[in-house]
Amino acid sequence: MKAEQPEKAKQADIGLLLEGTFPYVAGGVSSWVNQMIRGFPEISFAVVFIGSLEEEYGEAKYELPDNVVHFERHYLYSKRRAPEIKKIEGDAATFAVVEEMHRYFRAPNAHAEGRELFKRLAPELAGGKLNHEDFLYSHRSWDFISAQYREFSSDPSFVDYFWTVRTMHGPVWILADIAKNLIPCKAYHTVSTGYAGLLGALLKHRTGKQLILSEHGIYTKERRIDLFNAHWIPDNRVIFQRDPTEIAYFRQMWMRFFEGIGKICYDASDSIIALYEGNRLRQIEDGANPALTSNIPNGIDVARYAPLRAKRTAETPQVLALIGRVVPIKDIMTFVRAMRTVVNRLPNAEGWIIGPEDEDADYAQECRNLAVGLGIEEKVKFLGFQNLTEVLPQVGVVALSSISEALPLVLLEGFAAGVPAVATDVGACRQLIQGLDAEDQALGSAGSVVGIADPRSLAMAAIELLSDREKWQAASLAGIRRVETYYNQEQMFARYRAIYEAHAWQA
Amino acid sequence: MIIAIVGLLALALEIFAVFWLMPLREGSPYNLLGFLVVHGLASLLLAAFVSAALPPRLRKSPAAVILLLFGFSFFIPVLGLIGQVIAVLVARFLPRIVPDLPYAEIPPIEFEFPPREIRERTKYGQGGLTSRLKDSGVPKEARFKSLLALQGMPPKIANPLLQDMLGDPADEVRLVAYGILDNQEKLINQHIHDEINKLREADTTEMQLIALRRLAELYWELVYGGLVHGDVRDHAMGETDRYLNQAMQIAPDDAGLWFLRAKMLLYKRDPAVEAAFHRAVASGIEEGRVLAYLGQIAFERRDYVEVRRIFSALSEAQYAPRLKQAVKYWSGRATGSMAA
Repeated sequence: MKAEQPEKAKQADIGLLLEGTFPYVAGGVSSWVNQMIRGFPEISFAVVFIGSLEEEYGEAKYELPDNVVHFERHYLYSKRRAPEIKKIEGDAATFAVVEEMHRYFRAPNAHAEGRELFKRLAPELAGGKLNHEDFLYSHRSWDFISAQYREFSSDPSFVDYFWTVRTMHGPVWILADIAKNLIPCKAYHTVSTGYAGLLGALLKHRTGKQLILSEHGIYTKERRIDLFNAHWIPDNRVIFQRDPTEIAYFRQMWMRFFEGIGKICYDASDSIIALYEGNRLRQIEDGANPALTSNIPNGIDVARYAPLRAKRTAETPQVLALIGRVVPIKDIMTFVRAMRTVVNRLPNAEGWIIGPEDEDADYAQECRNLAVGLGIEEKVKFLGFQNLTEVLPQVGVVALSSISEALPLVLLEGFAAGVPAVATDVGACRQLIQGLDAEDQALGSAGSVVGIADPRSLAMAAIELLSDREKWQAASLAGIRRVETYYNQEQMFARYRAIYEAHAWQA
Repeated sequence: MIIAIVGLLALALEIFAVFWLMPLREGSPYNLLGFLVVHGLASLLLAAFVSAALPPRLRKSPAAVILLLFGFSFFIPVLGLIGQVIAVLVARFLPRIVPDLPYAEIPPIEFEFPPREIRERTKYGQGGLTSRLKDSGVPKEARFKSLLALQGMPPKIANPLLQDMLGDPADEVRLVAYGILDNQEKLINQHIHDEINKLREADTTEMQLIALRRLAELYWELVYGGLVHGDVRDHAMGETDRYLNQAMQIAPDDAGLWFLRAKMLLYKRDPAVEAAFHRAVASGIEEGRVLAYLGQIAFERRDYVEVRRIFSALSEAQYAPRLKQAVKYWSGRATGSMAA
């Protein structure tokens, strides 16, 4: 499928800022974005897609709906020519603000001043006194970078420090250019912090329009974990300088960079939306102003899945299905291992892995190898992308072995089709399966919650549901009631409509 | 002042020497000899004068410098002297040409030793780490740091703690613990995959044995390192056993294979374990390496006399430092009171 590029419109209602998701990635946030755009046919959207490298994204996975009147994509780390080298002194007053800004990044829990500081810097970044050249070539920039190195770096290499700073900040000016050239919108809606969030902040300060932030996962936290496991970051400390409890300095720098741009986005946002309470609290911990935060859970088109319940057989199908992309964060390996136990106890049971494998082909291969290694290659089936309305009636239990999730739609889709779930205790899974408040909990449990990377517990919980019809029916009913009561997409659309009205039309 | 006088004296002597030479036309050899003496004296004084005027870096070996300067004026009479005087005057009175190099003097770098972090850092003992990690009341950052410190510990000790961390309320702690465990397991699985391919391609029994041994060890590593649980652990133990059996068919008396078998039997609490350890020793494993295991087996059998006997037989070089306390206790070497 190709993302057909609509004509460049003169203006749009909502500027939707997306990083590494719709329309080039399938599932998760991407399908939510698709659902949202289609849910508001009366609103026109300008979509800005930001990716790292063009080759990392294949063809578009979603067709652009008609109300996307403008689409542009940008790749932050593709090769581009640096500005021509020239001798620049740099503006003293602007660099003083830069210094203030960095001091602010280091000081937690200060909101108002950060917003003001960035408001002063934002217009200078494209065509002002803090252009990319000023950052790359000016004396003041050099002085500032070397002073920061002397004061803070615990890594001895200045060369690595210098280039880390340059590489890390490069995208800021790309985003500033995007902000400068984007068509006018009535409000901006970013679906994460990070680069898209920074772009939102730049747009807000440039245009004075309002910024809405919806976070599914917590971007800064995810980056922190990625960076912790990244192998490309140098560490030049010698044995005497190493502290086993201390993360290498450049790793810390990268983590702080994302924390910093996250803070900028929180500071600039007029409405900060989380999917569930756990994430809202985390946003506050990361610097979001509590007064601006709220929760809007995902909702699904229950009516689309409800007819599937009638298609089910009287017996529980002995099928445990994991619906999701085959990527490490879903911990497919744990699912495969759990299947070893399930098959030991229920020899007729099968494990289906339903989701695209192209995002991380190596990992998919590892998962297949593992199934072979455990001797269950006949029982674990990799089905690729499937139409859920066709597959769900044949599924006994939906399994989710992820190590990190926000509020997974697949559980809700399963519930709507009458399929209970076994999920790891991550994100909002516990809330979805067991209920949030007392009233919700009274609906009953729609399955089980287990610890992460615990194949045995996952298997035992699944076996219980697959083999005990009464339990299965109770869980199925609880799931249906819960999704109909709390997670219907109409409720989600109504709340977003109110937010768009408040921030785009009335503001 | 003195040096100026020396210079003037040298000049005067040279002039005198030249005049001394004048009557040479009349052919007296004494005149030449007199000239050489006076000229030599003048050259020596001049050499002293010039060397004193030289910059310090050129005066490192004064005798050699004076000899060279002396040579100039002695062997090139008059002109050598004039040349040197001019050189000194030029050096003294002409302005120095300083090339405009883009370098500036900077103050020497001060190295901190020991570096900042090592002085500020917290010390984490194993026990402290464990209690920090298990107490979710400890702030997230502190738990996170303890988690990082775990990476420096042997997997056998760190992994069970990491496993506990998988249920931590903080996402970072949980996911980083997961990442560390996952990376270990992935690495071993990758090696297993490679060795299976090597086994398939092995065309000599020697090559087969190498691959089989590695496979048994790798599967055992998954079990011993606490990386696999439940049915998957049973599967890994089954694979260890299977590859071990195949390897032992090729090399029935291999000490390493017997040692691995014994450790596996110990893990399974199989009664055949003692015999396996003895067989490993008989095949060539150093006795000291198995004694501690035999001590453990005797202890589990509640045969404390045997434990004491085994531990008393251990010399210090034969056990790991962390066993020291156990050995002290059981061998009765620790204190006088115990010996009594």
